[in-house]
Amino acid sequence: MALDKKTMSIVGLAAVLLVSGIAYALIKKETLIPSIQQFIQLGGRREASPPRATGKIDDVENALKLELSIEESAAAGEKVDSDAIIGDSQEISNFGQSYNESDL
Amino acid sequence: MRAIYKTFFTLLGIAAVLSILAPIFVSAQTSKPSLCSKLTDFVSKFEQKVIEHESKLEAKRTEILNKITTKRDERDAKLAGNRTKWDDNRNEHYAKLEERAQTDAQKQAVDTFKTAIEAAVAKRRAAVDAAIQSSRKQTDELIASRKSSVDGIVDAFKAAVDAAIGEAKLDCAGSTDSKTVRQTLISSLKAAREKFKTDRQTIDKLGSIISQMVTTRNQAIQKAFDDFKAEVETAKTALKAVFPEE
Repeated sequence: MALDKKTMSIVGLAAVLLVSGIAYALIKKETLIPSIQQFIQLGGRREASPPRATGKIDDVENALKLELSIEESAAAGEKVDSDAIIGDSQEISNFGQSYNESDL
Repeated sequence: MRAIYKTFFTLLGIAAVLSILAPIFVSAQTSKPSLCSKLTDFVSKFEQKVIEHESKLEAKRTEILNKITTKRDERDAKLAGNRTKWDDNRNEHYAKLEERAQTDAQKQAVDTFKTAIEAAVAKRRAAVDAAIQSSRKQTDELIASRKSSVDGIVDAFKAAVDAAIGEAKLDCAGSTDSKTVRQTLISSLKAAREKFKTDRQTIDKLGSIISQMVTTRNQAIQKAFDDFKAEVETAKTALKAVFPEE
């Protein structure tokens, strides 16, 4: 009977740890996924958030440098245009299939 | 009487031989019209397919242009929103600096710093916008050039096929045997298809042009960033001179 109680305690503890682990993973996932998606959308470039103003000159300088990330990101987005140029390749290739020799 | 029998059986033999050979002659005579009638059907199918492909190509082109326009509008709106956000942030930083400024010299230095930074930001943004607009203009020109080239090779392909069929029709109406007409036609069609493939491969060689376009754009933006950083450094140094405790 004593052994059963010990076994039950271990199983109970394992269950609590398991539930806690799953909950932690879910919370972590919720906060991670949007930032990963944003990172992918920016073509691997991150846009910085404006930092809090402190009145320190070095912090102002850092803020000014961080601001560049929004323009880097905008420029990177222009790649979409370049990729779209050849988007009609399949439709052009199809002209080569405009006839069938077996019809002759 | 014997001579009559002999003549009768000779004629009968000739008739038998003719009855065996007749279908062969008939077949030889009818094979050419058969190919010619196939040609008419072939042309009809070819023209129909070309119309379908042209329609699909046009739809794809419209889709590409719409996609590019939508994405550009989205990026422009996002950049404008982000710039406003960072404008607000800079103003908060300036306000904090103004709070710290105690002496007239410090107040004047903050004011000078603010003017210098705002000018640098405006200059950088104008340079970045120009680089992006230039890149977009080049992209539009590439699209127009590609459209013109593709239309050209499609027209050339159609003309080559039409010419091959026209020649086959002439041969068909003349004395060329059907086998030769068919072989010549297939060979001409194959040549037209191969030329089309080669021509379109040339058109698709845009990689180096696009790569050059991206490099030029990135260099222009990098220069705008470098100039901006240098101007910030100069303004910061002047400001720090009157805030020695930092």
